[in-house]
Amino acid sequence: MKRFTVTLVFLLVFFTVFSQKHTVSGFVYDASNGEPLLGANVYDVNSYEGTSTNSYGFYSLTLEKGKHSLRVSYVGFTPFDFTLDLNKDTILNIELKPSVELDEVEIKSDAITQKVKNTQMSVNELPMKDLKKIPVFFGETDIIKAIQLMPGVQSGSEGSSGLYVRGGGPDENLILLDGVPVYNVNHLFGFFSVFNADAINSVSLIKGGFPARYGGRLSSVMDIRMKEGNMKEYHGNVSAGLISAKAMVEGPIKKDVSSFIFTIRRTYIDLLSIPVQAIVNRKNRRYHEESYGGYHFYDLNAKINYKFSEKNRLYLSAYMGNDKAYGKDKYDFDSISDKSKFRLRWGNITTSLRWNHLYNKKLFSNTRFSYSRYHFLVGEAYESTDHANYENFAYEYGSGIDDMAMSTDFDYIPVPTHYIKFGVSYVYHTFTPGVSVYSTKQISGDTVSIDTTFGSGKIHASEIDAYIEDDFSIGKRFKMNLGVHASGFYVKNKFYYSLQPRSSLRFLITEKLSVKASYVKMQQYIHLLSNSSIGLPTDLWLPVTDTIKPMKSQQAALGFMYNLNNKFEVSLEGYYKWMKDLIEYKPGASYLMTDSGWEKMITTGKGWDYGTEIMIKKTSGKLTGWIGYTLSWAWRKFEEVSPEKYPYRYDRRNDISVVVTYKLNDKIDMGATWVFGNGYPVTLPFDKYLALRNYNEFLTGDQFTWNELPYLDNVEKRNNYRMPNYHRLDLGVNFHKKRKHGERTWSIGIYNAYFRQNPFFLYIDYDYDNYNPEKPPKKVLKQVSLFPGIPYFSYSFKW
Amino acid sequence: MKSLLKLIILFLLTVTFSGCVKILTDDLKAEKTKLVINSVISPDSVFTVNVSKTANIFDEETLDNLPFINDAEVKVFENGNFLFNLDSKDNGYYRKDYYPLPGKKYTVEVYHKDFDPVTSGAVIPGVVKVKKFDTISLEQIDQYTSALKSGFLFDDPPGEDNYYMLQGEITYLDDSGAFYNTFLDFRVPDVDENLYAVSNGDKLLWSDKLIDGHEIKIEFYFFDGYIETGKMLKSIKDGNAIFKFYFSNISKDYFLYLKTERLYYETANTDPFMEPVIIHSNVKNGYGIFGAMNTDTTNISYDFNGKKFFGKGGGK
Repeated sequence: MKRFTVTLVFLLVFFTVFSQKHTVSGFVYDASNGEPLLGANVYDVNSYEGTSTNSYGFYSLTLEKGKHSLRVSYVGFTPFDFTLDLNKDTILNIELKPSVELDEVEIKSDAITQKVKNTQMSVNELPMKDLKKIPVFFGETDIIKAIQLMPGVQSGSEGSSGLYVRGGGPDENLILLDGVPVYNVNHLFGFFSVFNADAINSVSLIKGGFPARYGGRLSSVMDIRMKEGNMKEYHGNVSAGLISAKAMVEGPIKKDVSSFIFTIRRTYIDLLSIPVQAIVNRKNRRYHEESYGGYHFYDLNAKINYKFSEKNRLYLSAYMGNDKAYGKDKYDFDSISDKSKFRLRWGNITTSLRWNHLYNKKLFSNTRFSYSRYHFLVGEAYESTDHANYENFAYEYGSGIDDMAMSTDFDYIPVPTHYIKFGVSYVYHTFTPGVSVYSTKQISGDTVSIDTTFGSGKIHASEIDAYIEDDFSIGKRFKMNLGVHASGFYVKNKFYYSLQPRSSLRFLITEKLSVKASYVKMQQYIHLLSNSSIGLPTDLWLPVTDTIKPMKSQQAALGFMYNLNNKFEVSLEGYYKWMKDLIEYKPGASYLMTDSGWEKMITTGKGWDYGTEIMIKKTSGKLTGWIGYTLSWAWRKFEEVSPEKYPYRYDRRNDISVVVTYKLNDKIDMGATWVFGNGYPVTLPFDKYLALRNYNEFLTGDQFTWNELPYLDNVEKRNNYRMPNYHRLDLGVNFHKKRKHGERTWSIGIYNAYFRQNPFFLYIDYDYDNYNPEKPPKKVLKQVSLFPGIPYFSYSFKW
Repeated sequence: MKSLLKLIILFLLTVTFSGCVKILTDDLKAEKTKLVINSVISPDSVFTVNVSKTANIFDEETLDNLPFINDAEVKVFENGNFLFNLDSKDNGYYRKDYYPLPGKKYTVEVYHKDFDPVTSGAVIPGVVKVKKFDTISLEQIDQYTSALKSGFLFDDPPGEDNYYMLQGEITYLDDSGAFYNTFLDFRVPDVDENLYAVSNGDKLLWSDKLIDGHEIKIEFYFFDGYIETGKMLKSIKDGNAIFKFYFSNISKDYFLYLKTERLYYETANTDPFMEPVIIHSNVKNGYGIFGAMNTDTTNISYDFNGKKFFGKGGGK
């Protein structure tokens, strides 16, 4: 490592001091709204020396002294070509204009070429521009559901917003919103994600070959960037769908200096149900009964940014979202009353203050202070009065995680052949693994009163990370990204640390075909304890402890990227991932048992995942979309669960996604998606046998005089049965019309168009013959399916 | 607007969230039907093995449909040497009037023309004696429940993995003059994670994993429902009760079987998303348990004086 650093410094000094070079640097913006463009290409059209803008639109390109023909390009924008006489270091901010469609083929060919040439592999970028053409669930555009259509990503159970990347669990994904981790991305038990697409600028998912700047999770990094807000003029958007409505407004606070964006979204199932509940309660009043209940979620995104100067810019962004379900029952008659209520609430808050600073033409920094919080609460209360007797009871269970973090990251671009990133970060975690508050009071002769709190107390932990990486070229064909990520975690007087090498290599076979390889090591200090297959908010975030070690993984990948006729992006990748110190609930354990200590409920084991992913993507023209295919295996071995290795809960052998969007004209566009996947494995008993219930009964043989024999359902091994295959077709059409002050869009479509009954879960139950009550019930395997064909519509208006 | 509202509500209620249930199959088949052995051998009991077969998960559980195998050949080996064939009785029982010996390894092999042969083995552990029983006292274990607390001491043999089981029995006289006999319903202190109460609380299980070779004190609770008003407590107070404790050194397989069986019954049908428990078995090519144990039995009676309850300890 030391030798590597010395060599690096030597090379930098050499290039900087002894060559006659100058640097052109600056930012690339969208001319229509002043937002920075992330990943725009800036290059010399003759030598092909070039660079890309970073996450804040900054670029720096150092070239030989003299005249250069430069081009700045970005997908969806008209390229900007110009000649620059580079006699001194130059600052040049560039604004690109959104393109007309005819230009797009060439620009997108540029983008494909860039992907062929990048060292980064195993990455999927979500085409935000086409996102609204993809048919959606309940009319709600959802970036997580769109990401689920990418190869290597499984969705978990029907309709959920789960992310299972290359066989990894949902806690192994680092989901960053403007650089801040979001711990629970689920609304409505996972059927929607917390991200409002109107507020999102870009989404990329990295599944392997992780650059050194990312750490803390084993399986993926999902980097979501919010829009900055229009610097030029005010714009907005309102829309209403089947179950929710949302609004977005953005604009300059001071033109070209400061801007804001604000979005809000709320479901209205609860509001729509109020009249129904009122009618029911009016009828029930004769029985002296009343019941109310409801559910809603909401979320808010807000962001302000301010350009103090060309060298300093400040961003303040925030997200807040909550889900709430509640119910009340009341009975009141003749000095007897009963009241009960329950509530279930969960949500995230994230805030981030970022400061971009340009130290010089080659050194850019971003410093961030952030806060992230996820909390869950379930509670119930009961109150009963019977003449002189009174009794009440209340119970609450809460859990959560709070993070306070600061970090600083640097981009250093000494020469076009080197792009160096380095930085440090510190996170102070506060875990609340599960606390129950119980109180009761009785007045009936003797008065009894209890008010107590029990469960696991708060756990505080510190996490520190540092990294350095260099993306560098060796000649025209070789390019590498080498780096190292160091991390440490301190909890309960125990310190864990790790040094994780990261490497990616690209070899350019031709201008249109490259082969890429990567090897990374990852370590994760926090775990999500989950004993359900749907995204329940009860899932617990927990740190490592004395006995529970950090989870570790190594992943190697090899792939090809090909630019086919400048229209199609074709990628083929194979991967192998080893994991150890994974955690799992012991058989029969449940989150409700956390009062006696969660550490006792879990066991550790290992896993290994491998597979192949193919993706053919077309991003230009009227017809766009992709076909993705994944062939994969995911295995787990936990000694306390099963002595043999067994397929992971989300092991899916074959997975196919077909996504097609078509723009008929300026007024109509449409989309279709079809997905297919082999059934997930579940654990089912195939047979049963007699138990040895009681030794004394065994000796006398008494047990077999019972009418009901003590049978044990026999499970030979975990996940021994495959659910039926999953497949689904979604269709959607958008109708646009220009109005005086903006454009309105009607969207209609159907989720699960051919009404496929896909498995949600299976269980063994009795089947009763209603026409023949005398006939004894028969045991059968039943399948529960959700959403057998759901039409949707929504209306939106943007200006 | 009203009709639109009604339409939306109707839509939401009837279509949107409607899940549906369908019968997937009534024909889940295991690869093959297998033999099941159930047996716990002990120096205190004649050699007994029960043989049955697995049944399809969908088969009806009635007395007309019993899974017992009465025509198998059951061979017994002692330390690898053939000892005898067991004699078939009713309901799948096979017995021989022979008392197994501590320290010896017994293997059973079961043959039947319709099934693959199965085999299993166990070593009878040595007996571990109770050194002293503790006093007894009445304690409040939660808001509503009182329980009798007692305990006992024993020396764990060093250098070997031991697994223990405690069962207790009480015989008492009620006000009407009738004698009752029941197994004690144990409760385990929450703080002790190495102690398990199994099979509706009538067994206490623990291992010497963390306490090998030491003098060990096991504390336990037992009670008779609402004990303060219970018949059992009254008879204990009146001096009309006799306890019998069975302290057994048991084989590891039997311990694991009981532990997983406890989890099975605790979690069965509680949560459709919870992973089912796999019951431990040491039967090769089949299922069930062939366990072994060696028991130290203690008869004890406690004296109660006034409001304080003191017991007199004692071993066998």
